Formats: sequence, C-alpha cells, structure tokens
Amino acid sequence: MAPLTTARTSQTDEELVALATAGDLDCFNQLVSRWERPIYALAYRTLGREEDARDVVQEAFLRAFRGLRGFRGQAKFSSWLYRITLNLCRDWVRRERRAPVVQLPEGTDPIEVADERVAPTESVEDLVGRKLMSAAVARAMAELPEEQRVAILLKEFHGLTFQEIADQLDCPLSTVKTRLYQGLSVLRRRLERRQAEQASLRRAQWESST
Amino acid sequence: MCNQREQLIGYVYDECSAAERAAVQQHLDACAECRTEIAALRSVRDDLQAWDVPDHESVWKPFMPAPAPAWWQQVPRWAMAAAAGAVIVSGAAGGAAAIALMPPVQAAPLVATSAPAGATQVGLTANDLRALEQRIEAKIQTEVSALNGRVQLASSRPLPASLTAALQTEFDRQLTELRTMNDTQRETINRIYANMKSYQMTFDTRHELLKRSVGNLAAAVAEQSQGR
Repeated sequence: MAPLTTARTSQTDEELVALATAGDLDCFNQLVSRWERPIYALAYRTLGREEDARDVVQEAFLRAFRGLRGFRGQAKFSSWLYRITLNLCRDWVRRERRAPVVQLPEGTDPIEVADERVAPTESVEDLVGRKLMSAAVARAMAELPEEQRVAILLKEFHGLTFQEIADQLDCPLSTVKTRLYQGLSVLRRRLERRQAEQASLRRAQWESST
Repeated sequence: MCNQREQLIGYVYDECSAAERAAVQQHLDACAECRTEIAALRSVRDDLQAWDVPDHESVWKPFMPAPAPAWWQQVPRWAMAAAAGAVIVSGAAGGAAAIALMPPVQAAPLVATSAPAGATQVGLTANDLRALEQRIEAKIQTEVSALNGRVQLASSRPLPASLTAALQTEFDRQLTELRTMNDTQRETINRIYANMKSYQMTFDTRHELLKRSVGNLAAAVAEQSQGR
C-alpha cells in the first residue's frame, strides 16, 4: 500500500491549502504534519498542561479544516493557524476559569533524569539545572499578564516579527514593543529573585549539613 | 534614549533600521545604565530558551480514503451506460437500412462508451452522467472523510466533560448538515434514476420493435428466396 502521506516539500502552505480545498485531503494531512509541532508548543506553553495542549491542537486543526474554504489567503496560513490556536487557548482558559497551570517537573529526581539524558556531554547537574530553569521560566511566564505572555511566546519561540505579532493581537506596533519590554523586565526580576532564593536555600542546606 | 524602550527592544531583537541601530549603538557607548539594561534583556532571552516542551505523539489521525463504497457509489455503471445506449438507439432507429444489415439475434450493444452526435437532441450524454457522478462522489467523499476524521478523533480517548459537550453539539450540527446535503443529493440521484428508467424503457421498447422488424425482414427474405 502506498504511504498515506507523501511529503510534498516543494509545495508552499498556500498551495497545499488550495489543493486541500479542492478535495485533496492528503494535502491537509501534510499541512498538519508541517505545523503540528509549533502549534503544540504554543498551546503547551500557553496552557501549561500536555493534555489541554493536545485537545487544543486537535480542535485547532479541525477548525482550520472546516474553515479552509473561508481562508482566502489574506494572511499566511501559519498566521491564520496561530490565530485560531490563540483564540482556542483564550477560550480554554476562560472556560476553565483559571490561570495557565504550571506543571512542576516531577522528573527532577536526578536518577530518573539521568536516564533521559540525550547529549552525552551534558552532566546530570546541568540537566537537573535545566529542568529547574525550565520550570522556573514556565512559572514566571504564567504569572505575566496574557498580552505580555503571548507577545513573548510569539517572538521568542515562533520568530514572528513585531508587525506579525501586532496583527495577531490586533494592536499597534509600538504596543507590541512595550509589552515585550515590560514582559521581559518582569521576567528578569522574577527569575533573579528565584535564583537568589535557590542559592540561599542551597546555602542553608549546606550549612545545616555541616 | 534612556526612556525609549521601543528602540532598545528593536535593537535587542535586531528588528530596526540601520540608522536606529547606529543611534542605539552610539547611546550605549555613552550610557552604562542602558548597557546593563540590554545585557539583562539578552540574558532573560537566554533563560527563556530553557523552557522545554515535552515530547509528544501526533494528535492528528490523517484523513484516510473512504474505506468502503457507500450506496451512492454503487449506482451501477451499466445503468448509466444503458441510458446512453438508449440514446444511441433512438438516434439510429430512423435508418431502416441499418436494421436490415443487423443480424437477427444481435441487437444494439448494451454498453456504449460514447454517444454519437445524434444523441445531443436528448441533451444528456454518457460523459455528462459520468461527470455528474464523479462530482457527486467527490463531494460526498470529502464530507464523509471529514466526518470520519471527526468521529475518530472524538472517540480516540476520553475528553473532559466541557469539551465533550462542545464536541457533541458541533458533531450533531455537522451531522444534520451532512444529512441535509445527502437529502439534496439523494434527490438528484433519484431524478437521474428516474430518467435512466425511462431511457431503459424506451430502449427496451425500441429493442423489441427492432427484433420484430428484423424477424419480419428475415422472414420476408426467406420467403423470397423460397419463392425463387
């Protein structure tokens, strides 16, 4: 049997959209495989829970599929997809009536963590440090106001330009820059404070053990 | 400059004009406070990169080709062809010479692959029917695949109640939509069937007449040769 999804690397997203609209469903599969990773990352970092992120990703692609005919290429396909995803995340948070959750890394047990080590050069200490840092960043981001958080996500992890972010958030360019600046400044303060707390905790542990 | 955050952000992300860049650069040479600020922004950007996303399996079940032909795909092709065949016969029936040349038992071919020019008077050719059939098939297949995709996704694992309710509503809406659409299409197909039936009847009648004429002719020929 021929593979269900043949890679069509030469085609642009917009060409695939046109083919999918004309009834070639495999082209839509192709679009999903192209964009699932970034969309999942966006949903995960916005919602903080893998389970929620998966649901949002499914729903985002279904909405995109249903809306294909309405998508007239006035924007990039990816921008359109980001917008759908962000709207879904917003609805999600509103419906669940809660702020984004931060999953604490349960895998900070050094032995367990050592098993999933990928790069042989990375020491267990580094890996644990990175996991802790990852959690610290997630927590600090979750405390930011939504508009700052989304601006930072789109800039740092999805490489959107200021203008593209402004389009996503329906706000002026200067507002995007202000939000980024404010968000990064608050993050910095929070992360520094946390690092200071951890350092003093380690000192206290060391002192009590000697 | 010290209060101009937009310029600093543009500089940090390298999204500014050459002139803006030069201006910020010049300012940084002179202002220690802003140098610290820029360094801090860069370091927090580095920290952000530590934010991992856990590995995950794809949540998307690819759309598959429809597994089995459904009722509308089983409109027999012979029926379509027979309809066209009837058209051919009605077009050709006028020529008595043609009848005379036909062997008695072998009637007009049941399956015609293309309609002759004479058929245009009826306005429906085998190609028209085939094209229509293909259009309907394609449309239904698209909708059904989409629906299948939805069903597969909806049933792949238990969902939170809030989402299940939303999905259910949406699913019902789509199903109603699909049913309405199928009703319209069923009507179209029924009309085609009705037409084909009447073509078939015409075909049968004419076929019968032809057989009789051929029989009569054969009898006449036999009589003549006997009389000779």
